Amino acid sequence: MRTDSITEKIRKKIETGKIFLLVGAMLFATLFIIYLININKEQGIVFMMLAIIVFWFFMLGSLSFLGYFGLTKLISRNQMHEFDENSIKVYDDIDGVIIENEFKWSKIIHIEIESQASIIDKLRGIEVPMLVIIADKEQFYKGINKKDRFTHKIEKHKTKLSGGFFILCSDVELHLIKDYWGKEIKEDIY
Amino acid sequence: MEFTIFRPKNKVNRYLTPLILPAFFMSIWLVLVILVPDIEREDMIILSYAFGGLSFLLAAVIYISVFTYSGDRYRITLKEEGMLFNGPKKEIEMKWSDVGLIYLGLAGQIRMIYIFERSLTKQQCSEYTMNGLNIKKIDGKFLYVEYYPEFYRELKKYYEKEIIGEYKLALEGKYEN
Repeated sequence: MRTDSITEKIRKKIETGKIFLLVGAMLFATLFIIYLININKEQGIVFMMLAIIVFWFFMLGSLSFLGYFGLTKLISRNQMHEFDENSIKVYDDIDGVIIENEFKWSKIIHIEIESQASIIDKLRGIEVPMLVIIADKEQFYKGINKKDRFTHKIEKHKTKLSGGFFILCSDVELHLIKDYWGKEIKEDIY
Repeated sequence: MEFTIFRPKNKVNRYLTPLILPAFFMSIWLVLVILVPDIEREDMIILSYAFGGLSFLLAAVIYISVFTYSGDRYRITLKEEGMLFNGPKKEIEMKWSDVGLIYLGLAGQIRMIYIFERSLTKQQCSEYTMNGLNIKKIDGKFLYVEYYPEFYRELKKYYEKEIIGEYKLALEGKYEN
């Protein structure tokens, strides 16, 4: 069964973060404009203070979400994956173009795990494991290298997915992947 | 082959780039002096001299730190058997067989290569890199080197295992085949 490469929980956090930032920016802008056009000096200061409080409230609040925004750069929004004891498959849909790839476990040369939790989640002890699965290092690195220019972003994605991919996964999936791959999954130090 | 543990800087970077901040303050001072040539307001005079003085002070501090910079004295030699760290006060050797993990991490905005001995646990590894890095943290179980391509290329010749976080170099456009 195909699974989202960005887990439902993280997807929700990303969406909430976007709404949070948008609402914050709108509130701040409104209060700031009221402050600017306000003729009464005392009232203006009140609105300015409110704008500052709103700004910091939303800035601090967004720390819970901001860390996850970068994930959509690593893992495409529509990316899905599925695996069994023989192989792991990755699917992506970039502007309607379907990209599919299958990697046999024996062809995978390196898997590493890194926690992608945001600062606030890290403090709360929440871990968000992201797996980096690499079968062809040169192709994968070429596909994610920001200095490698491609004629179209689909080409870049195809190159990336032909060499490897990133996924977020549950603990159950992680254990299964460990079993199927059979080699040591390297962990980051944090 | 011998390397410094910090990225070697060329002369322009070393002597001129640190002057950006003092130059900025100096320009504010100049703008104040030019825009208000007939300074009568006391606060403006104080402000202009504060910026002028600050820029000279900053430039002096930066140049003193540049000339007393001792980063070049900390060196690491890569050999067939392992790595040899040489500092003014200590000399540490770590064999390749003792290396448990090489990790590409960040210290602030600087990409670092962390080298951990194999007996260290994940917790101990992260303790080494937390709360900032300094030379005192380098011991027989932990080494670090600022990332620069020449060192990394040579390191990969000797260390055949996977380096954790290498993909980040690709993301940053620093990866070389």
